Amino acid sequence: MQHIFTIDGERADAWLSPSGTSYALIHEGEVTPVKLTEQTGNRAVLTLDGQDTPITIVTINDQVWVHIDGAAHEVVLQSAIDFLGSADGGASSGTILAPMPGTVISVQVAVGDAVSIGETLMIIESMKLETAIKAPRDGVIETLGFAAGQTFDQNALLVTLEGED
Amino acid sequence: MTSLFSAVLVANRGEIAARILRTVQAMGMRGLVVYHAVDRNTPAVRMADEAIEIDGPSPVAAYLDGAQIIAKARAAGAEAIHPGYGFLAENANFAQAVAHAGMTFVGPSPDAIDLMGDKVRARNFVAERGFPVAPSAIEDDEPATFVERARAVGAPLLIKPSAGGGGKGMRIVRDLSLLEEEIARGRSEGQRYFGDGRLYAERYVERPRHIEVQVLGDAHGNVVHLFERECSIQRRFQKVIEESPSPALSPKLRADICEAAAGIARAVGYTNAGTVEFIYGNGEFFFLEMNTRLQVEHPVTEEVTGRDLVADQLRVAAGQPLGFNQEDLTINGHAIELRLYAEDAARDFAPTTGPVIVFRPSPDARIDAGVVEGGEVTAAFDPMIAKVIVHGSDRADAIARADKALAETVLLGCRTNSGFLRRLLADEDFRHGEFHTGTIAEKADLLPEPELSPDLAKRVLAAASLSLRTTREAAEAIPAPHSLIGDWNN
Amino acid sequence: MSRLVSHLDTRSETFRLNATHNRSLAEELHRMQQTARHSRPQRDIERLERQNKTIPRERLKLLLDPGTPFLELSTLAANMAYEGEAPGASQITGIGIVAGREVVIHADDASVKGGAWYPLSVKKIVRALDIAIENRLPVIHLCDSAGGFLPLQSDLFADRYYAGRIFRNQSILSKMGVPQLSVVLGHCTAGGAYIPALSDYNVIVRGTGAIFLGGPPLVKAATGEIVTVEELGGADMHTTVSGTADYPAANEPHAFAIAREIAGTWTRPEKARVNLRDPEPPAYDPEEIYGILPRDSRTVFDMRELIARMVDGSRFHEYQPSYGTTLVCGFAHIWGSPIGILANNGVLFNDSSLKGAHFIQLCDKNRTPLLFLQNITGFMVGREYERRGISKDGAKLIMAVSGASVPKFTVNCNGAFGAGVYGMSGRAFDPRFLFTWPGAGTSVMGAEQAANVLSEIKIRQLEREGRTLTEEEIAAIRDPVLDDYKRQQSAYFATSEIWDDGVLDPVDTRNALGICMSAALNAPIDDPHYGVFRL
Repeated sequence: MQHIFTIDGERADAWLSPSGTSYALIHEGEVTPVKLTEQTGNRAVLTLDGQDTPITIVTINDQVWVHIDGAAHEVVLQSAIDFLGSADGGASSGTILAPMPGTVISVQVAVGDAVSIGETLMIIESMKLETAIKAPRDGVIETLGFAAGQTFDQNALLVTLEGED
Repeated sequence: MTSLFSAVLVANRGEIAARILRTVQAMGMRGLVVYHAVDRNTPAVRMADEAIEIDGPSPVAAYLDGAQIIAKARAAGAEAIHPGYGFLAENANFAQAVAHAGMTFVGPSPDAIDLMGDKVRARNFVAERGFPVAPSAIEDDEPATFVERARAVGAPLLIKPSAGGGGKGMRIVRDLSLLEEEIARGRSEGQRYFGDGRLYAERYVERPRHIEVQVLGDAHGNVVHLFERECSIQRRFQKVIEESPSPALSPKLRADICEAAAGIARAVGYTNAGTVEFIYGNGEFFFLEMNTRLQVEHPVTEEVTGRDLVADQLRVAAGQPLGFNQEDLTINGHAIELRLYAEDAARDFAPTTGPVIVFRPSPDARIDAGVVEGGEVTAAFDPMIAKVIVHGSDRADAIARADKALAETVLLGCRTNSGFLRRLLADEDFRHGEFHTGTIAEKADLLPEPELSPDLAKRVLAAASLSLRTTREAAEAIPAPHSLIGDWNN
Repeated sequence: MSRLVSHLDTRSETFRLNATHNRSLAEELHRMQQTARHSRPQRDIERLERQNKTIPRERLKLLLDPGTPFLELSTLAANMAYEGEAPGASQITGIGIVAGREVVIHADDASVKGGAWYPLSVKKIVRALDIAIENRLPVIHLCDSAGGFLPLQSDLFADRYYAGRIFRNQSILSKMGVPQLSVVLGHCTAGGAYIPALSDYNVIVRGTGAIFLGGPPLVKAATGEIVTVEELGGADMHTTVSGTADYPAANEPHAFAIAREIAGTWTRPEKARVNLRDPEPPAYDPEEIYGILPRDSRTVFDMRELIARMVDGSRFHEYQPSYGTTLVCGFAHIWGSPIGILANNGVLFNDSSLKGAHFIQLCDKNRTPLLFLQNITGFMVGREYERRGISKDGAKLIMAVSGASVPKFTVNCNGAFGAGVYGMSGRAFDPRFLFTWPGAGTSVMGAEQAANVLSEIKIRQLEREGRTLTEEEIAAIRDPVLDDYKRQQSAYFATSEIWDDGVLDPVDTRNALGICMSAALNAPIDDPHYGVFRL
C-alpha cells in the first residue's frame, strides 16, 4: 500500500523507495529517481530523472507547503487508517452505545441535526465522571435514546446517526 | 525637507498601515501606529517608530475605538492621524474629534465626509449640479405620473419594490411597450412579498463596469484629478483586480468622466484625496458615490502618475498647496493591482486562515503586504494579505509582469487566491479588456484549481515525500537486500 | 576474492541450442505460474466482486511495501493434483516486506473454490509456518476460506502434519515471541476460526469478515437457533463483545492500513552476525545460464559457470581446487551475504565426499551459511569404491549436512538422484529453502534405469508362466512405466507435491537466494555440534 497524500485536498498516492544511497518515487506505476538538495531560506532544488526544479518548501508535522512552478500547494500525508476508515463511513457504524451505566447531564443536539465528526452530542455522567459523547463520523441525528436527567444501562443505545456521511 | 508634522499616527492596520508609515518615515517624520494584540506580528508594528497597543471587546472594535486612539495618539505626541481606509476613515465625528484634540486629521473636512457619506444626499447634490446620475423615478413622489416618468427614464429599466430587498419583485424591462404590464406585475409581487405595492424605477446598466477617478484637492482651492481606475473585476462586491487606465474608455470619455469627477470635487470644496465612483456601460456613465479617503487601489494611480498619494495627503493636510496643476499630470504606461486574498475561490471564496510560514514577495513588483513571515492570517479581519502592483509600458506588458510577480511571490502556510488571479489574467476576455462587474460570476470555470498535471503532481509528491519524516522513515525501514532488489517477484 | 574466468563460448552452436531449450522451459514455467495465479473462472471473480471482496492477488499489493520484492513460494503446488482444480493449492504464501519488516505471508485464495483447504493446501500452510519458525519470521495471515475440503478430509485432518499442525505451529511461533497477525477478510469457520484466534493480533472487516466454530446453517442444524452471520461472528460482535478480534475495519483497504501499522510496531530482531559486504552484480550475465544448462541433463558441464552467474562480482574462493574435483567447494557472496557453496561436477567419489564433509565443517565453524547446487546422479558404485568405503565416506557427508548449524539452501539445478540427494541437502535435511529449476528432476534413480528395473519384474513373471514376449509386448509393459516415472520425477511433480518451495527460473535464483539468506539470519545460529563421523 502506498502512502496516501492529499494535494490541495485531492487524493494522490505515492511511495518513497530507497534506491541505493538515494531515493526513488513510486507513483502511478512509474519509478522515478528523486533527490532534494536543500538550500537556505526553505529553498531547495528538486531533481527528478535528472531534471531540476527550484522550489520553496516547508514542513509542519505531516503537512508540506511547496511552491513550485509559480504556485503554492498544500500536501498532507494522510493517516491511511483514518483516511480509508472514513472513506465509506463504515469505520463507525453510527450507533453509539453507552460505555457504562450513568445519567444524561445534557443533550446538545436534536433529531435531524447535521453533525460533524468529533462534535459533542451529549454529556453523560457515570462514576462521578462527566464524559462527552461525540459524533463518530459526520451524519444526521436519527434517534436520541435519552433526555437530560434520564439514566441508562451499559450498552444502552444513546444516539444513532443516519446512513449518510 | 522640513517635517510637516513631528509625528504621524496611523489609525489602521495591515498593508495600508505599513504603506502609510513608509511614506511618513521617508518624509523624515516619526511614524506611529496603534495595534491590537492579534496584530503584534505584522509589518506596520515592526516598522513603526512606536507601536501603541489598543484593546477592545474584539480586535475590530479596538480599531473602531476613536476615543481610545485619539487619547493614545496625544499621549504619544502625534501631530496628525492618518486613518487609512476602512475603520474610522469615513467617520466625520472622528475627524472632528481629532481636530478638537488639537491634531490634524489626514483627510477631507468633516462636512465633506458627512455629505458624501449620505448616499441619498450625495446623489441629490451631484444631480442638482448637473452631473450624470442614473435616471430614476420614484412612485412615492407622485403616484399618478409614475408610469410616464418611468417611461421617460428609458430602457433598459430596472423596476423594484420600494420596500423590497434581496432581489424579490425586481424586473428588468427592455421593451417599453411592456412597461405597464411589468409595473402591474411588480406591484402585485411587491404587495405579495412586502405588503407594499409601491415601486421604484431606474436606468438599468447592462454589463456595468466600475470606473472611479482619483481626485486631490488642497485648502487653497486647487482640485485635480489623477485619472481613472477600473475596478470591474469583482467577486461578491469585493474588488479583485484594479487597473489604470481603464481599457474601456476612449480619450474623449476619459476626459469627460475625469472632468466630471474633478467638477464634483470642486462643487463639494473637497480637500485631500478622494475617489469619485461611476458606473459605466453602453457609452454612458453615472455617478455612484464618492469615497472620502485613500482607496485600497490607490497604488495603480501612483504607478501611472508617478505621485505618492500619501505624501500629497500629508502635505495638503498640513496646509501646503498641491504644487502642481492638472496639465502636469499624464498617464504613463499601465498599472495593475492584484489583491492577494486568503480565500478559497473554489469554495465560494471562503476565507482561509493559517500561519505565514514563508512569505517572499516577488522582487520585480511593488508588493504592499499586511503580513510578515512568522505572522498569521486570522479570521479577525478582511482576508486581504497583500497587493501585488505592477507597472508596464502598456496593458499587455503589465499583465505579463503581473503574472510573473504572482508566480514569483511565495506564500506558504495559507491558501490564497493566487492561482485564481493568474487564471483571470490569462482569460481571453480579460486580456481583451472585455469584462464587467459580473464577469467573475459568469466565469465559474475559473474558480476551481485545475487538476495538477501528472508531471506536476509527481514532482509535488516527490518534494513532499523527500521532506517528510514519515515517508523517509518508511523508505529507510526497508532492509537490504530487499531495498536493492526492488520491485521483483519470481 | 578473485573472479571466476568463464570459458563459455556464447557463440557456439551448443550454447545457442541450450539457450533456446532452456528459455522455452522458463517460458513454460512463467506461463504455468501466470495461469495458477490469475486464471480463474469468471463466476469466481464475479462472486468476489459481489461479496465486495478484493481479488487475493490485489490484497497482497495493499499489504506489501511498494517497490519491494515478494518471493512467492510453491506457486505451482497441486498443479498435478485434484485434476488441476486447485491452482496453488488455493493458497498464496511467500516472503515479503510489510512496514519494513520481513514477514511470511499466508493468504487463502478465495478465488479458488472459495479458498477451501485441500490436503496440499494444508501442507503448504504448514510449510509456510515451518519457514516462519525456522527463520523466526512474523506471519501475516489473510483469512478467507470456506474451510476444509470435506471429500478429502481423511488426507488433511488427523495426521501429525495435517491441519492440526497449522494451529500447533501458530502456538509455537507465539511461544517463540514471533508475532502473527490475521486479517479476517472472509469467513473463518471451524478450524479456520483458530487462525485469527491464535494470532497475536487480528483485524476483521465489517460486513465480510466472520469468525465462528460453526456457521449459521450448522448452528441451526445443531440447536435450532436461527442467527445471522453478523450476530454469530461478525466484526462488531467480535470486537465489542467476545474480544476474539481486535480491530474492526470498514473495508479491506482500511484493514490493510491497520495491519501495516501493527506490523510497523514489531521490534526488529537482531540478525545473526555474518560479515556482510556491499553487493555487486555478477560479472557475467545471468541470462547466459540458459546456454550452459544442457538439453540432456546427462551431459556434463562445469558448475563454476553457473556460480559465476549467481554470485557477487563472480568472485569465488575455491577450496581444495585440485582434490575431489567432482564436488566444487568455495566461498562467495550473494547480495552481500557470505555463502559457502557446494556444487556437483560429477558423481560423488570418496575424496569428493570427504572434501564436502570437511568444507561443511569449515563453514559451520566460520558461521557461513551453505548453498548446495545439485547436479547429482549419486555416489559412485562398484567393488573398488565399496572397498575404499564409499558408504562410510558418504555417511560422513550426510552426517555433516545433517548436523551443520548454519542455514542451508538448496537448488536442484540439473537433477538430483539417489543417495546424492542426501549428500546434497535434499528436502529431508531441512535446508531453510529448496528450489528446483524447470528442467531438473528428482527420484531415487534415473527414469530409464527405474523403468527397466520395474518392467523386468513383470517380464520375468510372465516368462515364468511360459510366455515369450515380443519387442512390442515388452515395450507395451515398459513404456507406461517409463512415462509414469518420468512424470513423477519432473520438477512440476516435485513442486506439485510441495517437495520444494517452488520452481525457479534460473535467472531469478540470485534474487530468491538473497531474500532467503536475509530471512534465515533472523534466527540465531546455533553453535557447531555433530554426531559421530565414521572415520
